[in-house]
Amino acid sequence: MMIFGREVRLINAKRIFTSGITGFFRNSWLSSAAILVMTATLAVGLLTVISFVVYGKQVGRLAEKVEIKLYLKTDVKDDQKNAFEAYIKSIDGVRGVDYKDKTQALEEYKELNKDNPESLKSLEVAGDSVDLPASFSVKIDNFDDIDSIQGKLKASEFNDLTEESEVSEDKLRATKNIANALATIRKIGMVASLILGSVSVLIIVNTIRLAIFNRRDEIEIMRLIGANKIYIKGPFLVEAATYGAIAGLFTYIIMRLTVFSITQKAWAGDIARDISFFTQNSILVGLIVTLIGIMIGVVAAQFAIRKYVKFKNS
Amino acid sequence: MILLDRVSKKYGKKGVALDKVSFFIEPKEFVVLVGASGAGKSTILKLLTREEKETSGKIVVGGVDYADLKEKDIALLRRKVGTVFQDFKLLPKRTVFENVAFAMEIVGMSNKEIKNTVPKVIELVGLAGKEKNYPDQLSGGEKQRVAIARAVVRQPKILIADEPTGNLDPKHSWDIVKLLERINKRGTTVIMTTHNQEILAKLNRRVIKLDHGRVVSDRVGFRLEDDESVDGSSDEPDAKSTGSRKVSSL
Repeated sequence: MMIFGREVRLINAKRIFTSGITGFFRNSWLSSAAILVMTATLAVGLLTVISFVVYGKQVGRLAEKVEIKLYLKTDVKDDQKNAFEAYIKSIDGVRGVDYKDKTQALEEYKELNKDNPESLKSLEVAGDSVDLPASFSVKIDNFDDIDSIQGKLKASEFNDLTEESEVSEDKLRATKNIANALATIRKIGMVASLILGSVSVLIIVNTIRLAIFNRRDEIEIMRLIGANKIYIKGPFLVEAATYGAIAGLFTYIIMRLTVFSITQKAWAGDIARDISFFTQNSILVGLIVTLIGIMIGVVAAQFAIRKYVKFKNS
Repeated sequence: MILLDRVSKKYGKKGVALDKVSFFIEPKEFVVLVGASGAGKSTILKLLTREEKETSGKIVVGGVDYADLKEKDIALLRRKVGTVFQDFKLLPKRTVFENVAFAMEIVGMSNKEIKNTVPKVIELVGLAGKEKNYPDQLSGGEKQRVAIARAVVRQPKILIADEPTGNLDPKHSWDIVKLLERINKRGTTVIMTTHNQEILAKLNRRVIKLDHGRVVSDRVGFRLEDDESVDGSSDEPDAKSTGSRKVSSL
């Protein structure tokens, strides 16, 4: 069997594993502390990932509601309209364009004002002289691009075809507010993950350092009677990997309980749908989290071993 | 089997531990290194087990030139050379059996091999019945026997014993030396360091005497008066006068 590029006999792998597990139980207090911090790290990390997903989906959903309305002049001909529409679709960041001719605009106006009898009456009074403009509704991918898209439209040769353009400002403002809040949550999550990740590594390095200190005589004897590096290092790596694996398992349980309870809440609405990936693929997510935990443990242990175990001869 | 040719070991600019030491040890020989503290005995043993590296000169053990030795080969080398230490270096939380088995475990020997071999070696060193004892339940002599059992359990061609009687009373010291002789008779080359003149006188084996990092005498047998009479003519012996003619036999 190959471990870290070296061949390790199965019997040795078994002995290394057993020795690592023994070390894990021998340092039970330190092991518990390491697992606790690692669990917090993984849980916050996972929460951050979940918030990324929710953020992406929520913002996407909000962005769908923001659009640029372009009202066309009444004398715009069909071929001009078609060319303008093609140009709009060619702009980066434009998701789609809806065209409403004068008749549809009138229908829409009536629909919007169906509860406003005064407006409808004035429409009747005006009769055939009502000439609502045709319009394009430009839908965008990302509302951050709204200014640049508007700029391109104004700078284009088709700008003369438009009477005026407007952006649904209230929707845009609300969307931006929510997006900013989600972005802040995301940043806090990232910073917390980094801080907790560093603390985890630090605690594991110290735990392994103490384990190395407690077993320094054994390490020295192993070295002198011909144990190879992997036999000496192996148990510490297994011990640290065990912290990661258990912390991963705890994080998985926490995630299952939290996500499940959120999806059961009535207020969760869209969020419940957004995080359904984590409930549907919870085993996969749990495995990934556990692997990340094991990786953090092994990297920290490797660092401690490099620093505190002397392999080279003078 | 073992050749040292003009080997020097220096620590910094002025600390000379060995100065152009040369000798050759035949297979199955029993050789004792003697000399006052700081003479360079332990340094030679540390060079042989590659705990330290020579500053200059050539070391060849069992056909392996240490100049060609890579870091990863050191563990393999140590598996072929058994080592016994003055302070025993036993694992206190392991029994006699487990301490001896440890040397076999680290090289990947099977549990069956361990169960078959370890009791025989424990019996060889005279500790039958004490397999389950922990080191703190043993006398100094018994601890050293465990250390010897651990060193020979893998049947090395060479056994290095650094002051194996240093912490023992005269009776136990002689028992340990007799045990080393028995191991030597089974075909293992033994290199031992000692301060104990009584043992040297009784042993009647090849004695290499060191003083301030130099070989000052190399002959069979030892008389108590030898300790005062250093043969000045043997200063700086090189491989020509001791081992070089035998290099081809490695």
